[in-house]
Amino acid sequence: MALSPFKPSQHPRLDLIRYVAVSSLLSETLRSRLGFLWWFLDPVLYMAVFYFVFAVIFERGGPDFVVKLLIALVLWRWFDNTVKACAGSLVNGKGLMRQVYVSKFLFPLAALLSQGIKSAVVLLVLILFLLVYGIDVNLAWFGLVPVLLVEFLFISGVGLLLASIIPFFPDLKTLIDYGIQLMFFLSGVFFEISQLPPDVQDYFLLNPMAMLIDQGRQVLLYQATPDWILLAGIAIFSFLLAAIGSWLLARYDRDYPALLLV
Amino acid sequence: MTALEKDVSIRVDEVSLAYERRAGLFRREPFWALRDVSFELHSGETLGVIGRNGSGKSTLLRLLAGISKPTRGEILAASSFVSLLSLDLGFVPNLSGRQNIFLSAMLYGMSRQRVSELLDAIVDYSELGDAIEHPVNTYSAGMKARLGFSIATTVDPDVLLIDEILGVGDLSFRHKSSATMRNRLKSGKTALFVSHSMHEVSALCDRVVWLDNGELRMIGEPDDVIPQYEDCLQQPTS
Repeated sequence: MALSPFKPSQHPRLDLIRYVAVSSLLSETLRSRLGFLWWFLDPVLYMAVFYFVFAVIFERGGPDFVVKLLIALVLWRWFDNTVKACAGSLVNGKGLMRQVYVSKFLFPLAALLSQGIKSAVVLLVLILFLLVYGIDVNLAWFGLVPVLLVEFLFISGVGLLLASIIPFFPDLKTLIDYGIQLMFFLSGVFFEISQLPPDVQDYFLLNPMAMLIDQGRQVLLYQATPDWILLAGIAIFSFLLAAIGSWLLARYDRDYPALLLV
Repeated sequence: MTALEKDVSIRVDEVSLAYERRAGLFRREPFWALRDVSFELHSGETLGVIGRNGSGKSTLLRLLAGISKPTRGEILAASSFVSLLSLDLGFVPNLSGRQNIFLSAMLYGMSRQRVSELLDAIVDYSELGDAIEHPVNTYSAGMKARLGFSIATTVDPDVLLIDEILGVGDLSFRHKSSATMRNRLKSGKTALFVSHSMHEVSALCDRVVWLDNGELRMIGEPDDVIPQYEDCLQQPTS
């Protein structure tokens, strides 16, 4: 038989990604007394904090303030949780990757899937809330599909990129947490970007999450059609991030185990 | 290709591996875990690997398993289906034994379908009975090792890499598991076997590699290598 260098299949196996994602969700759920209930309770409490501060204490916003806040928080939390999970995914998987060869894509992809499942539950709760709240269900709601799809691309792009570079610079993790916090304050969760002075608006327009949150609100509350050019722009940018991250993950596939040793 | 080359399963050619090691607050220096190691693993043979702690045995196994890449040199193999057996591959402590069988076996490369087919055999072999539905973190160390071993025995790669695990568990399970492993090695499986038990190595291995401080000190028949290694162990480390 001819001899050749070790050539692992870098294609992550879908059944494995699924099993790892579901196992981590299950394991996390089993660690608490209330288990699955936390999937609902956690986002509800999270939203309650913001509602209490901004709607009750500061009495901000008009009649739709609560709904706008909730839409924004649901979209934001999906991004926030997933990007953080992806960023730490290779570091957390270092024990496993020293026991067996696995495609390094497994770690961020499993994080994308498990956080996606959790966020889908929260999104369903939001939709139910909108119905109970008396928001009109109409065909414009279909516009949410492309918005969610582009947000998924954006999260994947940022997630893959961070997963691939954090092992080289573990200290970045702290900086990234602050970066995400900055993005949060510049995402227009508490207000609408169009209400701000024009010279400040530019800062917000640099933040894809601000634009996606705005698009989500427009579609769900004002029967707007999505801004296709904007969405396409974010999608292209996301593909670029994902491409760089994927290239790094493939290029350094078998260097990560030794790198994460230190 | 010559007639001799046909029998080579893995060729390790001038392989070195360096890790970065912390040498001060901000300074790092390379640490050579393996240096210019060369040998061949023939198909059908069991090659023993011996050496003191920290001599590079486990590093060598990780290189052969494709987990890390040599810093220098090259490893050529007839097949990429090489598995390093482990007693707790991918175990998630608060999931059940059954769930961990799936996780672990899939990480060894099996499809989910294949694991379903093997599930009963694995549970039977492990003798864990109803405990298979309980979380693994409620198991004793011996039970956990039995579960890991039972999964590992179902893995059938082209080259088997074994780090010390021959027999595990209590006396009767140890008897059964080491018999299983011995039979596999004796049945013409291509394997690399790291061990500190010279008794096992001379009984099971066709040839032995002696690693010392990351370098290959000697390779040959067990009867030639083991006495010299044991002599060396008597001397104080310099």
